[in-house]
Amino acid sequence: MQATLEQKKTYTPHADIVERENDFVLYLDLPGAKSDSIDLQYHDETLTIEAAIEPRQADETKYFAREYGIGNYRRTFRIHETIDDEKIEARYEQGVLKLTLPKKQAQPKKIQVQVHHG
Amino acid sequence: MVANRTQNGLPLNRWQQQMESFFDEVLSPQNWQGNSPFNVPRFPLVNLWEDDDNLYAEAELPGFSLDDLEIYVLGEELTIKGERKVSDEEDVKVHRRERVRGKFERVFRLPTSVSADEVKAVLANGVLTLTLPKTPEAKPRKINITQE
Repeated sequence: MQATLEQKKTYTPHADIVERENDFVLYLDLPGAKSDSIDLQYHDETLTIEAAIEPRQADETKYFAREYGIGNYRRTFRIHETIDDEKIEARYEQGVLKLTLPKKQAQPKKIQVQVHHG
Repeated sequence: MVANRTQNGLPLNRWQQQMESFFDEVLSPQNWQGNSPFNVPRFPLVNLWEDDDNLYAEAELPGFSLDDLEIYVLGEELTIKGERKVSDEEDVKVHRRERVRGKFERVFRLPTSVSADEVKAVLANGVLTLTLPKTPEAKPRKINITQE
């Protein structure tokens, strides 16, 4: 019973977030995740990161120390800054997901000046 | 729970967490944050199990390479130590800092003796798996039954 319950647990991954002049950089610890099992969504200023994790040991494994459980990851952030969502970059390496979220730059608009010669 | 994560003075003006439904207490950043010598971080967390031939140890070490780690087996004691070197760039504003950084060391007493020379270490996707073969004396012995 215990094992079944633990399999359904979802864990909140640890995150570091820094802001640079033109972007945000987010690092998330997702140990055990494979790059194709990570799902990222950005919608309406909300960033959601999910990763599906398969059990690594058989159900009947006899642990003599069990300090952590293995399960899916999920975390959601609200970003109060306009992000250029088409330019979000994601890179996953050695259990760490690095996301670069560029701030949307106000586009300099070219204003046509019409000169009326009266 | 959300309050706990923000008490360390991390500004949350732009990043505000939503739907922090729960997090496992064992993995709570409070277990390892703080530089007090009396607040020794418990990192990494380790699972240990066995079968007839081997003991196994698994630890979550995201962002590490095997070069960052030192693994020792001395008698029936397993030591995992290392350092996570993280350096922030200059001129950044830190919004959250939850990931473990710095030096760590953990020592485990193993339930049986193992062949230290044959220990195997694999690090994949931030998960370290150690296979520690039991010494012949530690393995369960199959006893042949002779029929008269």
